[in-house]
Amino acid sequence: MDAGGPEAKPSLLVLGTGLQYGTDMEAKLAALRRGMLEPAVLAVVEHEQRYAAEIAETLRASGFPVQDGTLHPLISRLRREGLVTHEWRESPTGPPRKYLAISDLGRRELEAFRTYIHTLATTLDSIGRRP
Amino acid sequence: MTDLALAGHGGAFPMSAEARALILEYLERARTAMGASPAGDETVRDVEAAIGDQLRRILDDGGQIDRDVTTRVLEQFGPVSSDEEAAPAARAPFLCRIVEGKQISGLCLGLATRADVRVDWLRSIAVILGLFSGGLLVVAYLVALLFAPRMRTTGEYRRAIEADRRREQR
Repeated sequence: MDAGGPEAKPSLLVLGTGLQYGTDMEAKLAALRRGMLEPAVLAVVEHEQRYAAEIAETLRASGFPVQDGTLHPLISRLRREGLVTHEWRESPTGPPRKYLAISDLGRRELEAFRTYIHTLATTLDSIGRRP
Repeated sequence: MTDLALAGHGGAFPMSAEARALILEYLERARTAMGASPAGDETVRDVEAAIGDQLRRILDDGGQIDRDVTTRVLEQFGPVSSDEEAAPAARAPFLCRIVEGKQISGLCLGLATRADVRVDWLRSIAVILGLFSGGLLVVAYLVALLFAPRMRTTGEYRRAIEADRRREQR
C-alpha cells in the first residue's frame, strides 16, 4: 500500500508570505489560508495562553499574515462555540487582557482539522495518478 | 488637538481631530459589519481596546497621533468583518423567547417559529390547553421561562435554525 511518496513535505503554512509568487497566485493562496485561519488560531493557543495581539504576532511570525480586523471576530466566534476559553489578566501597561486557552472541544476540533489537512495534502499529491 | 477615550483604557488619548474622526469612522464601520448583538458589541470593544494598545505604544515612544499614523494603524488592522456567514455561531435553542413581537414572554412566538405555524393559533391552543390541563401547562410554561434564552427577532431564530440544519447536513 506504500505509495512511496516523499516523507517530509513543506507545510502549507510556510508558503505564501513573500512575493515569490505572482499577485494572482498570492490571492489564491490567501484564499486558501483564510480557511485555515481557524485551526491556525487554535494551534497558537494549544500549548500556551495568549491574548489577541500575541496571537496575531505569532501567526505573522510563522508566515501566516492576519489582520486584527479579521482575527477579533474569529476569536469571538471561537469563544461562543466553546472552542477556546478566556481569562482576564492584568497587563503591565494598559487595561486587563483576555488570555485565551484551548478547550477540550477545541483540542478535538484542532485534531480533526490536522488529520483532514494531512489527508488533503496527501490526496493532492496522489490524485489523478495511474495506479 | 483633541482627545478620545477608548474601551478598557483609563485615560483619553490625545490626538488630532482628523485622527479622531478616522478612528470613530472605523469603529462605526466595524459596528455595522458585526451587526447588533452582544457578541458583536463585545468584538468591537475588543478591537477598540486593541487599537488603544497600539496608540498607547506610539505615545509611549514619544509619537504623535495624527492622520498619517492613524491611517497606518487602521490599515494594519484591516476592515472588521463578521465571519458569521462562514459558520454561524449560536446554535438554535429548542425553546427560546423572542423579544420582538412577543405577547407575554415570547415563548409561544419561539415555538411557532420553530414549528413554522401561525403564532396566533399556537397561542390560542396554549391558552386552551392551559385552562383544560388544570394549570399543568401553566407550570410548564413558567419552568420553560427559567431556561429559554432570549432572541431578538424571529428572523434571527430562523437563521440560527437554518444554520443548524446546514451543519447537520455537512
